[in-house]
Amino acid sequence: MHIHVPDGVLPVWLWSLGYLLLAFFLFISLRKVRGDEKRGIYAAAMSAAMLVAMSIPLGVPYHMNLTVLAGIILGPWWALISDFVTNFVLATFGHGGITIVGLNTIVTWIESLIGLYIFKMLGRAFKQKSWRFAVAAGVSTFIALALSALLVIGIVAASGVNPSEEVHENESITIFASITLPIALIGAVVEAIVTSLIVTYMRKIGTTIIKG
Amino acid sequence: MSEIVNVNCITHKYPDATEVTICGLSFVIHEGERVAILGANGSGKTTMLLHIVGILKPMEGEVKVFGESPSKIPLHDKVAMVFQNVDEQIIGPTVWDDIAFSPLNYGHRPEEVRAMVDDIIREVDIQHIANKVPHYLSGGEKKKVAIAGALITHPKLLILDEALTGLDSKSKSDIIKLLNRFNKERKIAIAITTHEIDLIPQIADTVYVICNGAIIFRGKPLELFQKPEIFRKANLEPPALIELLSALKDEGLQLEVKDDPVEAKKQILKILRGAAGYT
Amino acid sequence: MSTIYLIDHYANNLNSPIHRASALSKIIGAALAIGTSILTDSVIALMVDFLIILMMILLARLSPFRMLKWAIYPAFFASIFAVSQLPSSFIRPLATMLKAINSALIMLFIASTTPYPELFSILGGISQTIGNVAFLTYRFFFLFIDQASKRFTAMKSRGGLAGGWKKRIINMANFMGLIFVISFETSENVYSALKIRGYDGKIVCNRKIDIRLSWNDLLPFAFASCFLLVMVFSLLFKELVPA
Repeated sequence: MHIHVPDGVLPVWLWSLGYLLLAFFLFISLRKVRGDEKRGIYAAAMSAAMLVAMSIPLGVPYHMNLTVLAGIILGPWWALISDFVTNFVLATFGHGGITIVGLNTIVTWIESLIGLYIFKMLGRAFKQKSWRFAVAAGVSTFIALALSALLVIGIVAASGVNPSEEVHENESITIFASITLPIALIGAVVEAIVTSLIVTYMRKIGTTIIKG
Repeated sequence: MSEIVNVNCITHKYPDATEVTICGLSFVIHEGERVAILGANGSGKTTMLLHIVGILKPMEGEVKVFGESPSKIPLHDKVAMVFQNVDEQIIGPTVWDDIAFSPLNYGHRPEEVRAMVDDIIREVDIQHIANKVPHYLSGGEKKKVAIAGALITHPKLLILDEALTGLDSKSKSDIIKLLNRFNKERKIAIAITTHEIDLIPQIADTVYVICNGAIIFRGKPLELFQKPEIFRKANLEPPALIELLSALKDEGLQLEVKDDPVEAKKQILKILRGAAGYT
Repeated sequence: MSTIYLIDHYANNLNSPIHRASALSKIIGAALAIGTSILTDSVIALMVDFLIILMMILLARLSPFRMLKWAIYPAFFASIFAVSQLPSSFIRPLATMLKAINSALIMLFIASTTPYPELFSILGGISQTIGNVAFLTYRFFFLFIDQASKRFTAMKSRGGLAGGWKKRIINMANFMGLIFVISFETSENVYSALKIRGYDGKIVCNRKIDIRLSWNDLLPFAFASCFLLVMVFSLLFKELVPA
């Protein structure tokens, strides 16, 4: 899930922390991906494909993230780089502030990681079943997006949604969570189904990109 | 002229289990030679080219380029390729950036790269689009950019996979003139696959015809045009002029089958005037 | 048509003094505008910034209506945040909405007047690998969006969206799956082409951000000064300005 919070709303310490964490993990990922230039091309293709998928009008203010698919296809370290580039481009047309790119990348990367590892676990658990990829992709996507929605709510709570003295903080975060969580969960279900169908399609035509 | 490419009876199996074999006559390119490869869709032309540049490795048979096996030893400094879909090889954000790609990766200093790129842009006559973004270019412009990007490293062999497909007549003519100029001035050998049979005499010294996994013809363009049975066997259409002259010759007229329309006109007029009693 | 496609078209094909200005002066202005959003909750300051940004958009010969339409999406999500702040006052949520619109508009302005490769050269400064991915992403995006739109049209014309919602979801998902497959096959072909051209993971593009200043930079610097004035004024006179 993407943090669609504008610049100037989250406190400086929080988004700075996002950038610090991003810098740290990017440093590690750049060392880990050295020598794997072919997957770098895939990472760029994945970023572009994510941006194209987001450009497909679904008629509602929701766009596919496909971060879990990125994690499954690219692995953890290239997924981070791909997520970062995608979030940077999204920030250039206002989808999340430019100051939030660090936090957004960390959140979407955590989605990719959770999704990847659940996918692998489920794939191993149902090794002989032909439907294992579809189910694993769907379930891992739903869990990853649901958890990241909770993470986003946690981040917003940590920021102090409404630092006004007149209002109890819990009231504000409750309102925020009560609006965000249902939307996020519906989106997670939709994306889980779509990711599952995408993986099924890709396996059907014999591509070996998805390995379980 | 020394031999720079020799392909001898190769077989390759693709990941989807499709097996492609190219046997028959051996495929040879000499230094500075212009070679055209004809064949129906799926005959193996592109597969053979990909073996020459080292992207594919033969399961059987041998490929030698400048005496080496290209799949084992990279020959990027000697061999360049322009792919059928040039969109897949133009990756720079601007034309200039894309052309600079190879020299940058080969370790040339930025000042050297600037000079090399400016030179090739001038030679290929694409100064007016040097700062343009590739996805706004026309098909012909993209082909020229891809050719410039390939020629900047001064290769000894340039391979073009269907470089003339999808272009209008002016663009085709421009590309042909460009290739012939580089062939003449820099002695770059050229290998091109094409379906433009009418243009073969303009772009090739030697023609190869591939049919059902075999190279069934190797020779000069005019020699090929004298053999309509090769065209029929390979499911190709001979040039209209050649077909007409061959048909008239079959009817008993004393004609030499040539691809030159001026010569053909002279011959036909001579016959007609003779028939009408004119001298 | 895709937002990115139109933004790229504006950045590369429109001509105005602001388009001709260096990326540096525009980024400084944007940083100051975003700085105001970060440092102040003053509705008046944010309104003034909004008007300055609108003026910049007009001078860059961009359509303010289109820019505002694009800003609706981030504004919608900011509204969720704003609603959460309602219990205390109406001013804070209004400030939140203005921040969302301002930061979206300023980023759209930057992207529509500065070609993406210039912006990506910032990423290239962080790391060549990240820069490579960014430049290739840019190129791939336009290859894929072209193929995607052609196939989408073909799917629609063959009744792909004519059935019930279940069929439509399956067709859309298959369509996206196809886009992913095409993207990976294309990337395989691109990799082959790059290998022949000498690529070994080092450099895709060596572009550096343009920091050469010219007379065209006067306008962006003038706007940057306005943003700075607004920021300073709103910080110095907090008591006079409602927050």
